[in-house]
Amino acid sequence: MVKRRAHRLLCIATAALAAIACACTVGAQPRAVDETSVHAAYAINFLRYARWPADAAAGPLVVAVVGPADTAATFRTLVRTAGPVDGRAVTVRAVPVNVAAPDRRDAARALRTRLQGAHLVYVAPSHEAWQPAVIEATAQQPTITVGTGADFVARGGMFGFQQDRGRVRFTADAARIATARIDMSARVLRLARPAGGG
Amino acid sequence: MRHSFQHRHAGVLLAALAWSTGAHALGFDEPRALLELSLEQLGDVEVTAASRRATRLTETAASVHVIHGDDLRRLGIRSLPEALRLAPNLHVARINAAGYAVSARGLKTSLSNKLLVMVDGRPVYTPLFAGVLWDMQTVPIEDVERIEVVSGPGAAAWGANAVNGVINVVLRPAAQTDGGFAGGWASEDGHGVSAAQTVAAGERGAVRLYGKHDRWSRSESAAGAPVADGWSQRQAGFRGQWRSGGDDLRVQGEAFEGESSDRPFGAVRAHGHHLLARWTRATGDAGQWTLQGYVDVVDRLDPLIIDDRMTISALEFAREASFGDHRLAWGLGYRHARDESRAGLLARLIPAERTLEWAHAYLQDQIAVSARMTVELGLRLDSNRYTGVEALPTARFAWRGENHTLVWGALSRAVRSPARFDRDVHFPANEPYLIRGGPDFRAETSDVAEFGYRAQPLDWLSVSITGFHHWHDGLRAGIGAPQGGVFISNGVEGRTYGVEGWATARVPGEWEVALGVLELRHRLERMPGFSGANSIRDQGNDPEHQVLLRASRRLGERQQVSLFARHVGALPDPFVPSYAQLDARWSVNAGNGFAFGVGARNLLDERHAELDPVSGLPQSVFGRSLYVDARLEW
Repeated sequence: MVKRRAHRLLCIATAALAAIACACTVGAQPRAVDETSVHAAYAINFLRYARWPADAAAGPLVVAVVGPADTAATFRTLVRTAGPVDGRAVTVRAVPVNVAAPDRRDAARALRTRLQGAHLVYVAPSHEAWQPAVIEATAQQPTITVGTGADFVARGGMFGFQQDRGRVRFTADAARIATARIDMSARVLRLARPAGGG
Repeated sequence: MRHSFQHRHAGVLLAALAWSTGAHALGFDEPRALLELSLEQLGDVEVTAASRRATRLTETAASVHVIHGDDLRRLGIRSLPEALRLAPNLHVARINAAGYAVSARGLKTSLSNKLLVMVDGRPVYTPLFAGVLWDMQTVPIEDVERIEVVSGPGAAAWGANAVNGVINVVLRPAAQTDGGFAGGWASEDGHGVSAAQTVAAGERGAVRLYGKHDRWSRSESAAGAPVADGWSQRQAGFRGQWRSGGDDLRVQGEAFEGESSDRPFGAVRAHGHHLLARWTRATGDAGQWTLQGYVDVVDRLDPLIIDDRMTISALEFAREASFGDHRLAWGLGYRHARDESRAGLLARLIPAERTLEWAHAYLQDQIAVSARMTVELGLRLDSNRYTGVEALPTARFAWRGENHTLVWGALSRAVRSPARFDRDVHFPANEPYLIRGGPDFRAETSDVAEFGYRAQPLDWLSVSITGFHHWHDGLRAGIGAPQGGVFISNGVEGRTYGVEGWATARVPGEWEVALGVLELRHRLERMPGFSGANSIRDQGNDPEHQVLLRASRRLGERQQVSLFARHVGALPDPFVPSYAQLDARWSVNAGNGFAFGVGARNLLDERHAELDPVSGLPQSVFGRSLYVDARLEW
């Protein structure tokens, strides 16, 4: 029967093509696309909904990315696509550091100059060890701190991303944002989940 | 009755659902699409586990409903069929303590056979009868990330058996889990305990170890007599994940054993194990490839019906890539099964042992015709030992409007290829046989037209409505055999049509209300030469209406109340009256990782049956039951 013969042929063809497919694709280059893009989109929205004190209200908005180069590249792509925010150009400043962080005080000292003038700092998940140093280095500055993990806000960060049900959610510390003299729209804060809430 | 479009479109390439998740990419310009979303809508962006590519459900040209793991835990769900009840595009009927029938788009029997059900990409339907033995399908509910329920044919992507729907249970990848938990539930109808722990496996990997034990007590008949349908099952397994750059390797395995309470002809016993490996690599062309292989062994001893040992091994390759305005997906696969059976009192397979094999190849192309319009074309060739190669085409379109409106339509062909119970079954186990497997039984075919509308008119409100019409041909029926009794053959044709819709209103972190409605009609008739009185009745027993309502409200930061109500219309033949069910649960997060809940199922205490069993047991009815559950996380 023709259909049965076709079945045998398809079995053989499948095996042969699978072998070829594997051979052809093993050399393909990895491309790091993950929820970083979603984090970056949120970060740009945080910029859109923030008002800055007078000493930070002029010139380009600076987004510092503490993490790997490809994370900074993802931020750059989104920032470039988004264009100016509130009439101000946005620039991304990569802050490449080792994954392992030195002692918090040393690390904060090392970061302080590199984060100078940043309006928003994003700490990549791979660099969670730097979170305390980033928070210390930006203390009292009008700088939005954004990180990942359940503890980021508890440690003193402003916005913490977490994955929930395959979606990216965030918690926020409104009091800390206000202390940094940043006027964040209620629309953003209303969407934040309560930190540590069950 | 065959319809002209099924011939005209047989050669049309079809489009389908994205490989591995059933959800689609944001679009060809991912950054721009992300930036066009409001803050609220960003919260709806899904980051798929398999591809790590951001996807949005609202872009999928199919009737897809996603049940989130949190919803299951909020409602104190204990089993996979209970979880599937939350999907408004499914009908789930409890048959007895642990037995269920699950169907999409109708044709539901206790041996429903037109759904493709997968747990983490591994099909769990048995090639014995092309259906799912739900009592054995236990998944760690605490680790369910989401369940994607696609009603309507997914054949172009998933192959034969995905006639009326595809269910994909996605467990949380090991690397996204942390620490562990121990928990349990106790109720009038059973109890269960489960625990899991994640351990590091090298610098880039993690392994989640888990174990689970559930015992479902005997149910009762309407007269109050105990039914011998108790079921207990133990299982243990692991899920490992290693990531490096664009590579993602998963290795997972599980072993289980279960047994029923004593029955007149002896208890049903089942045991089995599986091992699966999947390697995914993101590629430079905005795509990925996936190579997956698994071995699955299930031994089920049923002295009344049949003893069967099924050993399945499979190897699949899938590739996705974007080229300009085209997003291509193609794949190949081969599956081999060795089935060894022993006659029970009621049935025998001839030959007792058989080797089965399947192969497939598919190609889908999603074409961005304009900024708002995409067209998807695809074709899958699926081959099986019994009927050779089947062609499964589809053509879909999706038009995106303002406010995330999506208008979509699809024409598809799907088949349910023959299983052992179509070709080789003999009833009773010894001559003279009343029913014989049909040597000429061919695939059951469905041609399907669907039209859908999905929108998010407000940031907190989303709606979906789908109209569908299935033309069935060659459904299973009996025809007189020269030796006496009947042969199984393709003797019924007809139509199934209806509407399914749902709406979800959500204020993140506060409350959520979801409403689902399903309206379904059948017009089935015997094909010329078929006269069996039961031919139509045997196709399925479906309610014409179903309404689901789910609500949950956060009370302060630690407490939550959840309600789930459903109304199911009467089943026509055999007649089962309509019923309403209300479940409620109150839960408290006590801090330090400890949470507990109390709840009730069937709060209205309307004792009701949901479907007639075919297992030789009396019909069970279900009334009110109270339960408690607790969980400690660390």
